Amino acid sequence: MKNIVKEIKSKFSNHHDFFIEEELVDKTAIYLIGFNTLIDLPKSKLYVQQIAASSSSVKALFINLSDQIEVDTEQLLKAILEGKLVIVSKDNEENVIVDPIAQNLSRSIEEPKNESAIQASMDAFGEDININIGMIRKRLNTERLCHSSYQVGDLDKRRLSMLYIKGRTPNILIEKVNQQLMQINSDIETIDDLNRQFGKRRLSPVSHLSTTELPIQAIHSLKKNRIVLFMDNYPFALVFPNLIWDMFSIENDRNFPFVLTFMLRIFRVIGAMATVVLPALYVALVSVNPGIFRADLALFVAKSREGIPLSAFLETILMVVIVDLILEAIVRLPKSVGPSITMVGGIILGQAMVEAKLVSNLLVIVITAVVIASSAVVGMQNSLYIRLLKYPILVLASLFGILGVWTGFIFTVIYLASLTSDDIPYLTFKIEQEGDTK
Amino acid sequence: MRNNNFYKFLIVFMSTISLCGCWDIKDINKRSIPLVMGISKEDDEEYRLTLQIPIPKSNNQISRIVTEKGESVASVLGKIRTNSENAVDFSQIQLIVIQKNLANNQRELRSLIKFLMGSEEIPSRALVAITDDNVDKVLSNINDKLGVNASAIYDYFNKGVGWAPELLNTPIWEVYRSPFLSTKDIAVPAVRAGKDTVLVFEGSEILRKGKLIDRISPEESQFINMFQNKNVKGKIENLGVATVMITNSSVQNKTSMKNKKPQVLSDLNLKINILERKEGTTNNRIRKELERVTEKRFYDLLKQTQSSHTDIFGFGQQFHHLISYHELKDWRNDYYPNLRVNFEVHANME
Amino acid sequence: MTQRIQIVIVFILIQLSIGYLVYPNLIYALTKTAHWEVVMFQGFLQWILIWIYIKGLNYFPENDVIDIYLKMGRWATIIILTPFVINLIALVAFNIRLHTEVIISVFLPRTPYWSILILLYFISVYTAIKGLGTIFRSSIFIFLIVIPLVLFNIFSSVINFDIHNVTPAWNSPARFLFNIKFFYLLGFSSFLFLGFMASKTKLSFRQLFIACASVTLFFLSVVYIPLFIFGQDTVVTLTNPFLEAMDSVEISWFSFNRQTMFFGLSLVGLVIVANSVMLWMISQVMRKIVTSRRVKSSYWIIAFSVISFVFAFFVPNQSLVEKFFLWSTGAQAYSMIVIPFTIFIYGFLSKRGVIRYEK
Repeated sequence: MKNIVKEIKSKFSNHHDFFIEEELVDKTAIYLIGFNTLIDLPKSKLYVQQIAASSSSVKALFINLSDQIEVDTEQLLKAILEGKLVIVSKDNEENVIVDPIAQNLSRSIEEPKNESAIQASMDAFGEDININIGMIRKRLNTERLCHSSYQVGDLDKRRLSMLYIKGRTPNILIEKVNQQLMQINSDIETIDDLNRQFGKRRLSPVSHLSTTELPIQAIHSLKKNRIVLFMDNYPFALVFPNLIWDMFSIENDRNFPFVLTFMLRIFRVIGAMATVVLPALYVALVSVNPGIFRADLALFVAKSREGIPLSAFLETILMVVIVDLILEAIVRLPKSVGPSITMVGGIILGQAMVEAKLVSNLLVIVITAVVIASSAVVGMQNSLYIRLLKYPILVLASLFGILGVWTGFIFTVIYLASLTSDDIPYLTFKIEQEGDTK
Repeated sequence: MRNNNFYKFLIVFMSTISLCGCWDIKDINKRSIPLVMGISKEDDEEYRLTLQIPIPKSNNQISRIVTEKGESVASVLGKIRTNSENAVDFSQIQLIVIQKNLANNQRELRSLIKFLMGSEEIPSRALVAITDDNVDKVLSNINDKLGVNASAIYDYFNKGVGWAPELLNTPIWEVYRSPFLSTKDIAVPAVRAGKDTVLVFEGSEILRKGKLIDRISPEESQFINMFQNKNVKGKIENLGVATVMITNSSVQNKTSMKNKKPQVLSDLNLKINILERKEGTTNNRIRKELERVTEKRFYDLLKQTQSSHTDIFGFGQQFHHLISYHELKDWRNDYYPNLRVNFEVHANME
Repeated sequence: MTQRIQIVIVFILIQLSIGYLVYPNLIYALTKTAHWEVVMFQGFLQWILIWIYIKGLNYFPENDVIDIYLKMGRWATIIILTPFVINLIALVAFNIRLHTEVIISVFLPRTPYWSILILLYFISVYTAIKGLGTIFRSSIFIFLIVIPLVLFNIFSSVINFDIHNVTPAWNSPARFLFNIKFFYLLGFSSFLFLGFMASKTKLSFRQLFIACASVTLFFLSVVYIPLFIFGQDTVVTLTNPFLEAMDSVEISWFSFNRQTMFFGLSLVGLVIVANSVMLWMISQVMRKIVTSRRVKSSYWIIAFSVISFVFAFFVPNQSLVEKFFLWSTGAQAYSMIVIPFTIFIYGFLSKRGVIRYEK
């Protein structure tokens, strides 16, 4: 047999889904080569046969099928791995890479699963990078929307796409991100792998990228002079840089009248603040600075804590950890079991703890408020990091009381203020429009 | 690498910080929170301190009384701290009851007030009251009454506008301030233990430069509230021929100097509501009667205070723009006895 | 534009931080009547100095104070700026210590001062190391939280006011001018830091004027609130008149009855901003004087903060702290006069020289 086919065959000898089908066209044998897990073979065969019927020769057939003809073996191998159909003529002189009828491996456009959109369009990004970019293009009809794509990685070449609007996103930023993406030489498996390419923030809970599932949100970010990245097989748009205001606003808010939008956003800010500060405030007021209460309130709080053996700090940290465990457990569990666990965990455990006088019922109220408040911010990633931020403040509060809460809060603000991604500070609200439109 | 070092440094630092603070931590249910402090002196030697501490355990709040003796107030506080089962937190003290025999000693009262003001824990907003009774009796009275909350004594003084117009509120800082002010003296409420209620208001003690001068009746202390333009709404006045309720009051003063003698034109406007009257009494007569009674009461009080050189109304405050700062220092002795007040009451029907 | 607002905000915050505690005491010591005269006069003098300073700086666009001195010569820089740096170290130390004393009396009466010192130093140093951008950005947020607290304090204290406690008067011979304490008073300003970042943005007088005016208003309120509540003769007997004034306020509808808490909170926010700016200034001076590659500016900050921590740690009591603080503000006042004038004169002369050279 011919050496190209042989070579390919030997290369994929331990792939059982690999096929080489022989076909007769115009009395010449051709080989169809590919993976049957990626290619719908019967349909593709039919397609080739149909084209062949209208072609005069093998050569004409190849030209009709694709314009990637007469390529070297390297490329053929790569194309096979990418799920293309490779056709080689028996005499080994001609070959072609054909876009076959593929096995349907990606889901269609569906409703958003991670973000719930109210009174908004209900489509979300899917796994296919081309469909995702198409969704953006469909909504943003301008020639200034630029798209550059990359294939990066060591073992597996992953496709990345960068979108920006020319003349809006600062040129320096585009240049920097371009550089950083080009330089990637390790595998990009998760967002954190990508995140690490934008500078050292290994121990930081705040990512350089904010994720969104909704095309509207991605387009809004583009219009707000930011860069949107897409990763192949990842159903989210990654907005760079991540700014603090992303936590509090989504574009869908603005489908409501302005006052309602404002109210929603204020509530999110209050939610974030409450999550960070409330447990710490409870500890500070109850165990270090009760002098701040009015007399009757102080007596009330003292009464509610009567007979509780745990110190305020211990009971708070216990409850906070349990609640975070419950939140995590709910995510892990299958949907059919989740609600019952929530009930056991939330209601029975909380009730039992108060009944058993292990924690005060005031604390249970505080913790409930915190759980609800932490979910008010936009995006799971933000909700998680807000939940993380409360722990250091809690520790400081247990040592220094109100002073600890306050210094902890200031320290958090200073920490967030010190974060930058490519010289754009995390605490900015707006990226200045820069660059020429040409 | 350097970055890593920085984080190591940070972790070490945070752990040293957590080693630092362990001094003020005490859960609220492990603290005793006294609300009222009584101070008296026994045989002119030892201070005797009494605290009323609510016990939050039961639904029906009761409180306990803790008493301790010592050389100085500070040392007694220390003793109470040592002997108490819980940590004692003085930051919620609302009222300080001082026994008359201690308050009569000017020097000791001043140093006591100075101590209370300077103390970091005791808030300077706490009210001061003076009692003739035994302090213990006043404080323990709260437990004998049915259905009375532990914070009853505090509530007694904080009834709010329009509920008890005669009652005076005098916080520590005002008492502390009074010796330094050259143109104003203050009155401190005088209370005693009641038979049916926890406290009975007996009028006010006038303090001049930290010295007890005189006691005035509740009606007279109402004037003081009036001249401080605190609303005396709700005051009920019995005039013999009728009973009226004062619904609004305002004072306007005009000051002037004549032949180096201060003069004040003072107009008191009252709005009244007639609650009951004897048959055939006209509105006009009631008005005239009220004006007469009020004016008489005022001039009596003025005479009394002028003879004791105590400017309880704070008239001198209004002469700041007429008399220089240094001359005002002698207001009480040089000017106030010569003060002429032209006091007029204008009563109006609602 | 945002940069300018940030500069103005930091300017206001530092002034408030320095002025909150000792400033009223100084004023009460200076005069018994007509306190506003002293405050206004100090504000006016400060405004003139700022004007000269900015004029001088504008002769050298794109340069900060240190660059200008380096143009004069290396020794001139060292001679003028070394005392300034030492003064800053002292100011950082005593400012933090002074605030610590107040914080202890407000929040944590049983906690030893060194633990709070460590906490405050840690945050200030961290902020200073992170650089000017971080200071600016975080100061906006601190401003947004602290200023409402300050305003709430000021307005809630109105209920205890007795306007008659203050003698309305006019001191025609301004005797306070010849008091050494007025010189200390002059040091209660923060405008020198404006020269340390002029290389980035050009400052406008109008915004600075608004800042100065609001700071003067604030100083007036700080001086007059205790006066209205206690009166001059009482106020001089108190160690922290403003604190006591806040403590006297009781708001019955509010479920927290400690006004001093808000006061203490605003103090903490202010002191962190002020000290991180001062530490950053030290690092800038040292970085430019000692041009060594190996020593990073963060090392300078850590080294000097350790020195000033030692200063702050070994002062035995509060009255000494206050005395030292006054001395360091006096020294600060000296730099405040020397630096603007030298810059202005040098700028003026060099401009003349350039013109003559061109002809």
